[in-house]
Amino acid sequence: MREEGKISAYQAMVYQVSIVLATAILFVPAITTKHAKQDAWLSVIIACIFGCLQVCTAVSLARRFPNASVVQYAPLILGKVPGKVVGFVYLFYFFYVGYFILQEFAALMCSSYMLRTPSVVFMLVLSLLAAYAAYGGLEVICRTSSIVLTVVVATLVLTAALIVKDIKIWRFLPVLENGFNPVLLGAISPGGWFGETAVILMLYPFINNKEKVVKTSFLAILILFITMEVVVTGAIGLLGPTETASFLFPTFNMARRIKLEALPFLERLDAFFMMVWVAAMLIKLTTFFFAGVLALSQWLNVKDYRPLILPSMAIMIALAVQAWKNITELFAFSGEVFPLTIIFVNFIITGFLLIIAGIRNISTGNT
Amino acid sequence: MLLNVLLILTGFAVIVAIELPRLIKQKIYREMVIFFVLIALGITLSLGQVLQLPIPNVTKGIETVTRPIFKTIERILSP
Repeated sequence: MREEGKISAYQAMVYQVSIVLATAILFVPAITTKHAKQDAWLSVIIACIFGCLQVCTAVSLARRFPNASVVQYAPLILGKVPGKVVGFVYLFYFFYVGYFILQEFAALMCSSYMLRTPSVVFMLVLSLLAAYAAYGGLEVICRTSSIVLTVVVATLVLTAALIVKDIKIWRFLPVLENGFNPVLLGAISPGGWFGETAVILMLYPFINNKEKVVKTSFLAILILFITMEVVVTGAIGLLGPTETASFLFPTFNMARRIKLEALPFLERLDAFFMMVWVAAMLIKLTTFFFAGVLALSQWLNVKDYRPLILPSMAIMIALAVQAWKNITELFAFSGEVFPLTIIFVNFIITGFLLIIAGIRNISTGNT
Repeated sequence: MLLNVLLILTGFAVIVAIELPRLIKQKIYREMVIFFVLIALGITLSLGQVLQLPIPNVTKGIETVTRPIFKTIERILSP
């Protein structure tokens, strides 16, 4: 394996946050509120607990093999053929989320901003940029995402600060109207998104201060928890649960509602929000695409992943076009199918690997 | 349709033109084989859709397996 440079644990944290944030702030309010109604803020808490569990599993598996990624040590744990199969599941997972993001991005741009542009154009532009970033390598991606993440979080804080005066507490009442079950159902989707921080399984060999990873992973979950909670409570408090569930992207409608008598130029912040979100979406695609190409090169025992970037990008676009015919199918998919599939990879398969490695007592590190 | 086919083939030709000289110069033949397998896979997937050939849809496969599981969870958790 060619030396890919080293990153610090905090840069890994930025990677973990960016890999979830962009789509989560946009899709979680609508999907969670559809099930949990005004108790969506409770769903996010449950999802956060589940996310901590998932990141615990991933980090304890990664700590057993400090110098390899999950695709490389899966054959060590399970034997050659089943290990390669599990490795393929991981690498397909990264591409699967990658083309899902492409299609989400194209769907939003086509449905609300540029109605007459074909969706393939958006996919092509975004993935070419992601491929360019992937050529730069892990360090470049981490530094770029630190910059973008700062801007995203600043925008979210600004939006939250401007809408907080319009939030009505009575919109959150009655608490637990239909019992606890709808809250659990609403927690599935954000729970899956929190689990995406399990990407630490791919990053762990490149981190130079490995002893801090546990702390920074939980910090990543905490940052994600706070942002999701801000978006969900903001949307429900401002728009009410019924309206939030009926919008495709409540976060944009929330930003659109900002009104200040003293500063009239601060209205319609959604255009600014949009700009920031496109950058965040690019970073999110890059993180998944890079992890996927890296996993592919490790799976095939190739020394350098760079020649594989452009062909895999072409395959990803082809899969994205093939997968969903319209935005309704995509939304049904993102609410019902998508969370379960990523929970399957990030939690069930990772947990399974951890249990087998524990029983057979396989480990290559001294930690 | 012909235009689409031409555009797709041009796209893949550009990819080959960018990567192939570097691969030949470095004499890494294993990478070259994998590179062309991936290119072939990409061409099959994209041309198959343009020409409306029956190529398997992986996403639909995942959906058919997973959706009943979600429906079951939804039924258990519904109030």
